[in-house]
Amino acid sequence: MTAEHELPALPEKARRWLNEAKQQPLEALPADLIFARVLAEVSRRTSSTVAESTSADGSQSSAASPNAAAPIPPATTEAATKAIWNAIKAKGLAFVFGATVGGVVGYTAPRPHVPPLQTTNRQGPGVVSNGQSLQPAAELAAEHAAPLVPAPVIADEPGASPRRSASQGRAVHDGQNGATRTVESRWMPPAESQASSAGPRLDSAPVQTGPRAQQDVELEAERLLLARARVAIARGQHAAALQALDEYSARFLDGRLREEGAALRVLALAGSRQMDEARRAYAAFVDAYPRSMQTRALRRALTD
Amino acid sequence: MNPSPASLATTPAPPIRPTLGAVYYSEHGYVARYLRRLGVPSRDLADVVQEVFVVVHQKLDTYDTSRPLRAWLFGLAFRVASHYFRSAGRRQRAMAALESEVAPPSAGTPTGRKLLEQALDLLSEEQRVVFVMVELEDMAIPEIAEVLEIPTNTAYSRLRLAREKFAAFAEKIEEEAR
Repeated sequence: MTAEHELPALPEKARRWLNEAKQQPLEALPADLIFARVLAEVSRRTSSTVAESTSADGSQSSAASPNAAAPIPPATTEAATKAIWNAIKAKGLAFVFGATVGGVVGYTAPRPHVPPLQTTNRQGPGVVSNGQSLQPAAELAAEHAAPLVPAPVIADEPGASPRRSASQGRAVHDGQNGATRTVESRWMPPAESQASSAGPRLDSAPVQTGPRAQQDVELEAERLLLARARVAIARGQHAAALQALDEYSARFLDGRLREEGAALRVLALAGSRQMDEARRAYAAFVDAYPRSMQTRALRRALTD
Repeated sequence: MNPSPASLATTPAPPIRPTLGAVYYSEHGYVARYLRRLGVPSRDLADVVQEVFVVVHQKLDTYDTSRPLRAWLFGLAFRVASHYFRSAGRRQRAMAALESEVAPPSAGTPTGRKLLEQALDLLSEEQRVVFVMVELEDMAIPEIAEVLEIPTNTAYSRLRLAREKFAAFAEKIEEEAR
């Protein structure tokens, strides 16, 4: 800081307001729910990219949708898993095979209107990693959901503020106010995200009506419930995952994502070392879905 | 040519790039608080936080691990918040929501928090972000200039103007109280 950077001092009263504000607690948010939505949004955008690229070259269109030209998100878990795997390969993403049984099944695109789900704030560090390799979509979820550091406390930590630099900080300057637009012109959210950045609001009620809309809402509710289980597995909270899966089973007897639910149950049971139960769940899974792409990953979870 | 064992021993290991989950669970509370201080009302906070971390996922490969993570995050959060405010009518609705969610009008003497909100609302978006980063997040001006991609002198200038407005508001409140 130089003499020309001299700043006007703030009155004592203003300093008090600022000090009070620094003591305010962090915002309490439904952390797990927001994170599940982040994952779903990431997955949706990845799927959209794949749908666009495959409809352009026509090579994968049958896997994504019978309608090659329409950018419809994958309708089945299998197709979604393939699509995500293709996207991962196309983008050259390197995923660390570290997440425990974190895994899971293919994401499918979220619908625009979502009923709120009750979640709890994260209270402790997650547990991750037994070196197991999972299916691509599972890796996506597991890697992203795998916290390596403890969650923040819901109270301000005076010592935890970002890099303090007393020598640099309160510098002073009397230059001109050069309000530039550099930032805005250099970066903007993608057009798609602009459309969805208001996004499906967490507290908004569905506005669609009719049987189709009802199906969409139910599918989204299924997806969110499974996302909760998936995140819990990735964080090593298998009891919470099983609780979410029990809730899923109770609410969606004929759910469209029950294959994912069954796969998650095997992973959660194996993660909680209930191996007999896990093997039984695995046998039932193989009976019900003999051609599932998740069988290999589940078998690996049981043998590791 | 393969590196010799000796050079391998002396070569520092590359820094580990954090995962999205690690970044989210360690920083989302700070990002949310920062967004609130920039003026995002609590009713939209979850959605904006979600968008920030979607962008974090997109940009994580470009994060320079030698730089402070939180400053980088605040830069992204500021851009997402700017977009949020630019959206049609958002700013006005945000202001209305802020007014309604702080203390009710009949609460008597305004609290420090409400006065702070009022003072921050007097600042332009550019001034507000620099002021919040310096005065509330304890960041240094050069660091702020870097994450906002503006010249250092511009950052100082915005801070000076923001302080002048802030000080004038505080003095006015002081006089009214006498």
